[in-house]
Amino acid sequence: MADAIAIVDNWLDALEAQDLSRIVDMLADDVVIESEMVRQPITGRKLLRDLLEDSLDAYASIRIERRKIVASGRDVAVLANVTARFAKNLEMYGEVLPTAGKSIDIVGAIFAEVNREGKISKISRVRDTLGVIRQLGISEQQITNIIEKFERQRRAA
Amino acid sequence: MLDPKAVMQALVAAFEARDADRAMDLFASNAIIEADIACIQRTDRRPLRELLDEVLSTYEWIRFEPRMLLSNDRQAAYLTLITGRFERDVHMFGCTVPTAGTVVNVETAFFLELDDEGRIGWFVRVA
Repeated sequence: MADAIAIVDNWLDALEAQDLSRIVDMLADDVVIESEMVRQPITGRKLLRDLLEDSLDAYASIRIERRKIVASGRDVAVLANVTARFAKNLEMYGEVLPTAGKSIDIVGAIFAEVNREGKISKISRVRDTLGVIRQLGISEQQITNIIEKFERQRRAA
Repeated sequence: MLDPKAVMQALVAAFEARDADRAMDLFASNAIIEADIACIQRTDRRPLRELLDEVLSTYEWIRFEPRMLLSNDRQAAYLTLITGRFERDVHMFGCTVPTAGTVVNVETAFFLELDDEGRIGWFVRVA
């Protein structure tokens, strides 16, 4: 198995390349993704693929500057400056966010666990959400709507 | 031997105890501290002390639920869910935020790096 840092680093490369197949292929089938945005984690590769398929092409570019990488065994933490430019408005669950032509520059952290097969089995993301909202001019109500629709859809699935 | 994991745990314990003195003792005199809210860097002890006093005194209580704690060499990373109850309103830059009595839950990440003396020389909070 390649070392955990290299696996997570490659996964971040895939995110920068906006390469959906690579992003998903590096995850375990039963991957768990925790985000500050949703109350319950996103579970399974398929659900993540569906989410990314709907949103990844809204980005003109994504840059992830790794500032610090801390690793212990198969666990890895990355502190990063993330810069993203949007090519078009981001549409999620019927909400159109006014992102076209805008850029964001935020600090974020990823905590990842790599399983014995060399796949990422858990990702926890923390980021400066206030910074995202402020820079993109998104309303609190839009964020609430997206979270509620996402969680409603997941309960129905 | 430098033990960044133990220092991170000591820092969190000091925060939970809202003990600014204990927290201060863990930082180097020239520590650099980065926080999202104002992109601040503290490079001497007096403003750091003022910052800790202001933040810690705001809460009636504060708890850190550990999610992940990693370390290697002289650096550590900590993922936690912070739950705290505000004792009073927050006053920042002439503005008053009506926080008194409110309980908040915040997913937070801390990163730190120790200097040669085993004190925190660099600290970042992401939330």
